[in-house]
Amino acid sequence: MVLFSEMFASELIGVRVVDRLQETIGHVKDIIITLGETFPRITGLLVTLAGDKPENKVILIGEIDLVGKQFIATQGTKDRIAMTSPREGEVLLLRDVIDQQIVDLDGARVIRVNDLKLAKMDQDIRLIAADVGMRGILRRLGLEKIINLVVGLFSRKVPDQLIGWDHVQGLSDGKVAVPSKTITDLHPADVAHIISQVQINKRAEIFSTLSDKTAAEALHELEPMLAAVLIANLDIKKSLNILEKMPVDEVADILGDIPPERSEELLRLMRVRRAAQVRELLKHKDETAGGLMTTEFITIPLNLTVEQVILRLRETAPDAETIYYLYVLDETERLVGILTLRKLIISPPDKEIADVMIKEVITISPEMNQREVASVISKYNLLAIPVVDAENKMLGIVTVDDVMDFILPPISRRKRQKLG
Amino acid sequence: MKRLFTSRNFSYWKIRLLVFLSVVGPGIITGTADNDAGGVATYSVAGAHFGYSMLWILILITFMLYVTQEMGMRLGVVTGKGLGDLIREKFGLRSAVFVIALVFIANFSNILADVAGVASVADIYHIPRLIFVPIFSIVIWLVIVRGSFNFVQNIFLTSCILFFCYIINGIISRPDIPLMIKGSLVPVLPMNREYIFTATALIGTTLTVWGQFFVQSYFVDKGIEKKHLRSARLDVLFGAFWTDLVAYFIIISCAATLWVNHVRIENALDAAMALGPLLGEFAKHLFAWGLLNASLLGVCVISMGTAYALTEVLGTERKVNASYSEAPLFYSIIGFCLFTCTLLVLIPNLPMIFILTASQALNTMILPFIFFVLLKLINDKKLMGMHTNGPITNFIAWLTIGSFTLISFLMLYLTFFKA
Repeated sequence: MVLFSEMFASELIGVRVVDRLQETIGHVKDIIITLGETFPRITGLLVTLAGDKPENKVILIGEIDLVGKQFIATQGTKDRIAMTSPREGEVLLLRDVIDQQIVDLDGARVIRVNDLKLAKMDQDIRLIAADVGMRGILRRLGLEKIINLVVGLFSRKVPDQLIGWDHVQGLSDGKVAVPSKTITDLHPADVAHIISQVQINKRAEIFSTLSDKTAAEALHELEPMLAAVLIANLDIKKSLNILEKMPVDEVADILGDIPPERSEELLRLMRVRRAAQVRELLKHKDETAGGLMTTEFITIPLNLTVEQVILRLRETAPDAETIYYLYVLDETERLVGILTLRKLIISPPDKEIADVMIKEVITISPEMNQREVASVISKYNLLAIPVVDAENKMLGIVTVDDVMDFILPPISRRKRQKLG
Repeated sequence: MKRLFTSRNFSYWKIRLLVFLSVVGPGIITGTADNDAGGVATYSVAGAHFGYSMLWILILITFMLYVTQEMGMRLGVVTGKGLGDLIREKFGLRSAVFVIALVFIANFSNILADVAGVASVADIYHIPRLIFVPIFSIVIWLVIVRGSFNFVQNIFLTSCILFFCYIINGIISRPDIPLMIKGSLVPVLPMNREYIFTATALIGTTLTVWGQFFVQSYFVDKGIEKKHLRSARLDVLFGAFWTDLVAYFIIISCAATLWVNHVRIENALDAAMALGPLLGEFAKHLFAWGLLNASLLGVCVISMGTAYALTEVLGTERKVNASYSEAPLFYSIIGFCLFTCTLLVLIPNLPMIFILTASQALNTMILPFIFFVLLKLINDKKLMGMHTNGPITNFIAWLTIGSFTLISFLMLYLTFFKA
């Protein structure tokens, strides 16, 4: 049973270790923890022994009676303390955790550990929080008191920035943190944000831990170049699974940016129908409506009633990106009208589609420039716009999120792109 | 990057942009920003006061520039981390704060030099510094806060014009070829204070502290992979060559025009006269315009680089593209540098050319520390694996550290004890 109150790891480093007779044993060099629990337990101290030739030994926490800022006292006398040699593979707080980067899962950001907070929980001393603020830096430089005094003159305080250890995830190779939730649980946009902040070789690593669905959504949030590099570096099976979960237009965007051999290989392994759609899209130039559009949309024949359409939607449960608009085609596959989901739901079930659909359809050609597409979509407040050929046959739709970057004001656009 | 060219649906303008960016790679960017106001002034003084006799130093440090930049590039590509990050992670907070303090001093003096460059432009046109410099500082602040990078790109291209003019000018100003060859190949090191001081400045403006941080973070941000080390190396080599080619011709231009006529450079107008053979009366205007651009580019790149390195080490905020409220420290550092430098430059009767060269000499004194840390990191097997330095690179790196330390001490000795 050890006496201990709350303390920071940096305050323990260099503290004198004495035995029960107040005789000096050495000074604390580092702190050893065991992994595997949410709040890792401190199991021992690495101590540089006092004496002619300094040697590093481990004193287990069981031997220690009192831990304080002035000194640390052991239970036994100097010659009776069991000391072991440091082992490979132990996790040391100063060497392996402090100054390294971690992921703050609540703030969804990558941040550096300036100090660590230790506290007593039940019988054990545990690592409970990471200090990521200015205060931790000042404390470690021995400037905390002075600066606090100076700042105090202006009746301010240097704020504490602590993040609970259950809310972080380590980036180093050892599993330093076992968070209550992991990166995988974050919103895909946050995942993308984190991925864009960590170093390159870590990116693929984090990415391969994501579920295919999250990965697909995160990929959509990333800058196109970054997304392409990631897909090109994942193994072929994983990338196929992820691409499977993405809308065809995004698949085409990514495949257009990776080496041709690789994209050819992926296309060959894809389902035939999907591969054909992607190939079709790849023919169009990037910055035209054709390059933006997706070929996944829902069409309905002209001669159905409202009820039949709803039934059919339920049966086929289409996985198209947009179901807010249904496109009505005549017998020759030409686009004759649009039915919004809203109209479909509020119309009497026995009405004919032809009577409730909007007949004046706004369409664009596949060659239209993306900026024009954006202005058309924003002018008419659309969620998606159909792309048709010269004979009014539908080729695809451009959804509003594909042109979002041209509609938003520059500031938020920059933020969105840069932050991932 | 190369693989993008072969992909199918890449449109014409994108290819053109990529070609432009890959040619104007980090090499040219650092090279051009390297020749900022402090650089142009130092090279001019070197040529005008010492003729061709410093060319050998330039040729020697071109190798050193390549070797150190290549190390920075390799460190960045292999670890995927910036120099500030690595120092913090490998040497702990205290050492990191010490190094970053040195970096801050070096960079601050560089920014000061660039703002001094602006003041010199004001002098050329007899505009009061009190009006011109603050306006300029505000413009830079807006450029950085708004992130108008098109604007920066244009500045960048205009400063290139000045450098091309120097190259052409160097050729048509009829330099003394035998003397030039002798100066390039035969080492001389007269033990007089002014020569050593200028030589130290020449070194410090070619190899820079901020350049070392910049080259590494550039390759990290670009996400260059290990398998492309070879082409990245070429890029660095090209950059080192370009930087020093421009420097070489500035020195020759000044030697062939000012040195032969025993004109000493006391202010920016004197330095501008070196471009006379090519431009005649117009030399003044092009030089002023070029210097202004070089200063602007220097202040932007260096102040942002400083803020980035500082926040990287302190780890408080890591977003370069964030707004003021998201990254107060980042913008405060830039603001502080700009504001203080502007105030300092406004002190009446400040000798601008001296500030410009002295700041570069200070750089040289700090460089050995940075290179030492760099060498420690790059020879760390755990970090670099098979990509640690070979014996030749290590030798050149140590030679660089040794000779820079030596010349720094020599300069201090001559300045303070032999006055």
